Amino acid sequence: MLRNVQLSFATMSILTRLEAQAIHWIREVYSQYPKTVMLWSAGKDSTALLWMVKKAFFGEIPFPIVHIDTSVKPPELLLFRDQLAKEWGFKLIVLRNEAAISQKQTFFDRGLTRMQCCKNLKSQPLIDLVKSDIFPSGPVQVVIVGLRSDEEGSRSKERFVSLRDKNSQWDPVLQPPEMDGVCPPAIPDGYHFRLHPLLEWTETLIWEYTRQEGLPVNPLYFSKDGMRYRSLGCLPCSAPFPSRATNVDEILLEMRHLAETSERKGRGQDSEDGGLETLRRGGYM
Amino acid sequence: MSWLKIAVGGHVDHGKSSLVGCLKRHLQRGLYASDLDKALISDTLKEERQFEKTMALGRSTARLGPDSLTILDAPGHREYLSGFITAVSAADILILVVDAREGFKEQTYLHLRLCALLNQCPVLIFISKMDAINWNARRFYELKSEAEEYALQMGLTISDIVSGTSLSEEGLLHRSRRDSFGQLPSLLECLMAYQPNQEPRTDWPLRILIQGNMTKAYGTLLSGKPRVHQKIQVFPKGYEDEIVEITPESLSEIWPIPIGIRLAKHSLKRGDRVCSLASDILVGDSFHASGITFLEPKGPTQMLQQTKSIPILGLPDMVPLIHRQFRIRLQSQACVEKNLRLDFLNRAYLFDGSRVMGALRLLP
Repeated sequence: MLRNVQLSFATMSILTRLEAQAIHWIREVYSQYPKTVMLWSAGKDSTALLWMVKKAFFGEIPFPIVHIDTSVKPPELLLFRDQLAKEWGFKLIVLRNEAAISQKQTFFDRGLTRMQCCKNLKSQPLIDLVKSDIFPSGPVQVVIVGLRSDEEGSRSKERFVSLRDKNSQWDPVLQPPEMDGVCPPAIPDGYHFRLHPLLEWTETLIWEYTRQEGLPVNPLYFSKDGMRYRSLGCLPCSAPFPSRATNVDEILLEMRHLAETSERKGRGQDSEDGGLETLRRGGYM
Repeated sequence: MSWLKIAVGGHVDHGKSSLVGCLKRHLQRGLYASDLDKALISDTLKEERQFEKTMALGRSTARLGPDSLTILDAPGHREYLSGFITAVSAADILILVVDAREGFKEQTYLHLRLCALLNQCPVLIFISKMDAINWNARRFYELKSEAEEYALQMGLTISDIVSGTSLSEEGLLHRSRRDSFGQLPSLLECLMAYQPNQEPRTDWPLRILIQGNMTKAYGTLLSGKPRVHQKIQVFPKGYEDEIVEITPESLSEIWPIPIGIRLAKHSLKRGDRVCSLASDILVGDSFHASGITFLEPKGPTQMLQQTKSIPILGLPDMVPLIHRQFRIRLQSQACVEKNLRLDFLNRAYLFDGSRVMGALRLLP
């Protein structure tokens, strides 16, 4: 139903090249480092990325898909997550920092800062996953993440293949050179890579791709009672904004104006104590 | 143009970040506070703002009419060379920024040299800070002929040489109003008019690089148009076979193309290349090449002779080296089978088993 809208040749050409670039990286990294997992938030970017993984491997998703559940994600998001996992038939691993949740080490329970809360509920499960025995042959080598460089300042400093140290710390300055689609030949002991296949996509291009491919969309992106979400996160720290867009075509029309404002405007943690850069240096996605 | 990847290079403090800031503010209108220093728009890290210098490669994609631009803003300082290498390796065009007062400096030469070694993409020279020399036309033409001479020496193509200032954005986002410069296009006009080389490769020899195999082999189609029932040859083993399946059935005409493939008799594996009959490398062939390798005590580096290299920032226990020029000689079938993969676009990858150990440009 969405495909009857014609995309310009230029847009199709850009989407084809970007998709080819993403598929190349996914295949290259997985072929060399099979102990790979992918993070999936059930948002628009990681859902588009998941679709590209399916295309890369002829309909299969060969590595575990991981969702980090903070216990305060919108119920609609969790429902969409479970429905799509069933429909597309992939292995979904849901991670929760149960200790922090039960001890109320959170922003919404005990008034920790948003940064501390993100660290406890999102960074820590990811750090633990990398060190876990999810693969019998050794620790995780690669985490695929659907981030884009246009989302926020520190993400504009990312590489396609980004090195993380033994504590999952990120140093944006000390990164090895990337050679035109070739990933580094080895991972130092205890380190892992983050792969960012969507680095050169924009919010608008993701919506154009979603429309072109007819991908399922989390209903939270569509207007309900005159409000919709532009970026999905935890309920206490994400704010919807006034919008009438009820389908992808209307979102794309809206993007002509929205592209001039930050997509993550409604995300509370970005405006606190060094913002996302501080979190990301500490292991956040 | 559709989608253009631009690397921005040049010496320290020659105005790279200000130029990128101007472009970003123009292309992503509304995203940056009007009082934010242009140079700080792409210097987003805390330490970059503290020390007022670009330390890590910045990347941004923006729309320019129906097309897209990805801008790769590389640091100028030598210790952060890794960022420039990453940028120039992937770029369709390099914007080399040269301060009108200082002219060509150490990093300007190095960045040009690296462009010649790693990519050989066209170079757009931007003479910056023209306001500081009062738009002196004589100085501009001095630098222009100097740039042309260096590019010629290094075998690089210059797409345009333009001048301007980030301060008033003259010559950058719009043409200069000065008499002697009014005829020159602005930097933005040059970018909009630039056509990256995306000629159809349908009639070229078939080249498919195999990345791996699941239910069928997957890889990248670099050139040619594979057909079911086509007779092909698979290197490095050299056996002949026939294509029985291509996925997707209808291929795009925008190269490189992700592809799935199955053969009649053999199972393909990572490192294989599927080629038109009798069109690959043989024992005894030798090449001159330049590029980057990750050197380890053993492995394919035995093939490298006459190596002159510059160590750069590396991983622990593994130092990437930039090779200015060296000779690869394929001494045995083992070398052909295990160590070298050519894509016939003048690029070669050094392999050690399934690991890629280097990316090289073959030199004439």
